[in-house]
Amino acid sequence: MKTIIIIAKEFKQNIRNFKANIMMILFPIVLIAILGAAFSGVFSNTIDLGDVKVLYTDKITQDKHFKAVFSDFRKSISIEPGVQFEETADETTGKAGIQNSAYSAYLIITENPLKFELYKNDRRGFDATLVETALNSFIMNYDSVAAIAMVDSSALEKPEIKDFENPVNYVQTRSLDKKRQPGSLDYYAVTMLTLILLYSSLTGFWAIRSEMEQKTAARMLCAPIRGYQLLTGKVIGCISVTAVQGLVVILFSKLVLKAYWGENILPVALLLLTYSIMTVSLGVASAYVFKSSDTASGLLNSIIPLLVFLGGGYVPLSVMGGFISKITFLSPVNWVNTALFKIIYDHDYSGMPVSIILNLSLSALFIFTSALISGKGKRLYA
Amino acid sequence: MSIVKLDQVTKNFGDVTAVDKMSLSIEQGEIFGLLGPNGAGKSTAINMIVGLLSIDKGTISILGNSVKKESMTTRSNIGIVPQDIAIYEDLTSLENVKFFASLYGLRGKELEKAAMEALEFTGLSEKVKNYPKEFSGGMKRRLNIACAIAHKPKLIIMDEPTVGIDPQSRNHILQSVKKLNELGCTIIYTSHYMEEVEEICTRIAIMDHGKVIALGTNDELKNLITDKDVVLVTVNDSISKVREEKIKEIRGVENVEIEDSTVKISSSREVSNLDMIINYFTSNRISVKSVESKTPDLETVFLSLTGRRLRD
Repeated sequence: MKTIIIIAKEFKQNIRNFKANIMMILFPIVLIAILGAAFSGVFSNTIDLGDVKVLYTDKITQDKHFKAVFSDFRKSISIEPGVQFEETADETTGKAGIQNSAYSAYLIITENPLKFELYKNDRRGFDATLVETALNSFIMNYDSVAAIAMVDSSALEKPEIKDFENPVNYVQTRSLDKKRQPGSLDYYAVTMLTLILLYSSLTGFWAIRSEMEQKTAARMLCAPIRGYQLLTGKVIGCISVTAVQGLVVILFSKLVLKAYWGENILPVALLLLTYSIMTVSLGVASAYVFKSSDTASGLLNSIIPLLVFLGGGYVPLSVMGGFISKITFLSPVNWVNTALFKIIYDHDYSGMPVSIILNLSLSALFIFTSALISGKGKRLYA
Repeated sequence: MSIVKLDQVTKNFGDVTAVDKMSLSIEQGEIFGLLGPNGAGKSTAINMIVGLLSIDKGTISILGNSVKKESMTTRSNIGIVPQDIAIYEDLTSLENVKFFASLYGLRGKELEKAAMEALEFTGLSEKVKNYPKEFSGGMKRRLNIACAIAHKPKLIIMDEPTVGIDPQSRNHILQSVKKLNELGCTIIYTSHYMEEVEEICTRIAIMDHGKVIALGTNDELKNLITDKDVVLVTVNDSISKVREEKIKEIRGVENVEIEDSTVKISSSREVSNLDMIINYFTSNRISVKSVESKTPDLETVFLSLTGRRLRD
């Protein structure tokens, strides 16, 4: 019961702490919104082609079959990926269209022999390459059909050849990874939450240190209460308030910012809970280990950004290279972020047990250290 | 019946012996004063009584229960008013009192009633929903007391409860201490203010260098130094004309102190030297406003026993 009394007191004090709530709730929400918007391009896995316009000059006069096939090609490519062909009889106009960047490519088709001459706009390199690829595909198909016709023209009537002659999709763009990928908002919703939960170590730290500085610890220890009840109450109280703050961030990011948290929030919540236990315990242990508040809080404030960086909190781990990429495993933020992304996007729970065990093992170590120091030296009261 | 008993209690911090074979028995219903300068061992002794510090040697018992072996029982009988105000600024005064009282097992309506009574007792019943940050120093001191008494302890330990407060709040606190005692509480009271201790304490122990060097009632302690006479001479002229070393040359004079325009002269009772003292002032053309023979106070007792002033 006394533990519950301390939990309730701790919860009440923390929830009334306006500055801490701004830091723990508003700060990550603002960061998610800002970073999500700022880095949206970095995380995008689709390309908006916009208008791809191609000028062409058709000098074919005799080969009506080619004209028909090329017309079909233009129609189909206008649908997907959306390349619009415009004809011009004047080569100078065509080339000028490239020079003034009004068109992505200019194509001249001549006969006897059949020849395609493509001028690409370097300033629209991707669009021009797309046109070139589509055109190459078309030419290969046309050459194949022409070769068959030379051997056996009746074969052209066969359905499979007709289909081959008029393929619908000359260019098909497909992502190699068909699984859902996090957008910038989704990414920073996770990483900013784990960042701010790491800052909850300061909640744990001040929960102990403020009792020392306010001299209330001595008063509590004079009461008939056991050391473990006090320590447990403090830790659970801080975890409870951190859990509420984290929940607000998750709900806001999900409902308002539309961040994706996966289809099953329970394993995500469980992992974050064990992570919070670890971070709060880290703060509590720091309060006991270090005699000076300035030293302890300074150290925590220095280490946290480093751990978050190594955990991919600021920039994705995929962009890190060299030595840094080899030491990212040192950060508990990395284990948690990696496990969370696997759960949310791959439904892969393989990282979860390891991460939970690591979180709880570290928590046990921190709590044991705290209990040892507080029991021996009455550091809480000193 | 003894409520607190210390038997040959010793506490060392490294090479320093903070409390040295201290033996003491405090009876139920007493207001027991613990006097001593900083470093005398008062706080160490109190911290061992309340269980904050371990005892190196000897035993302490409260109502017959060992502090070492039955700490939960002994602690439940104690209310502590620490020297430093120990309250939460972010909890209301009622929440503060209720929280600390609940640690002693009070629940529900009983808790609410006890907390309200404690706040009423300390004159804070109008401020139950106020936060301590809105309080004056004196009000915070009173809340500090309310947090110690709500669970109705048999023994209340007050460590310098009137430090840094206005006379009105000090008076309120002293009256509260007397009232608590009348209600049956035993009180251990430490203070630097001799007049407070003289006014409220039924028995006093003077500590120095970790030992109790004198123990008794106010009168008993003063009788320890009946070999001294104290004369207060107040002058009209500038006090700078007075030469302490010249007064000390007068036969029988043992100590001279100057405070504002008053010269406090302690002499051996065996020597009659009042005429010589007055002669010093007249012969040096120092105009005397008044001469007063003073009975010794606890400060004088302390000075006599230790050779130091209490606040040195």
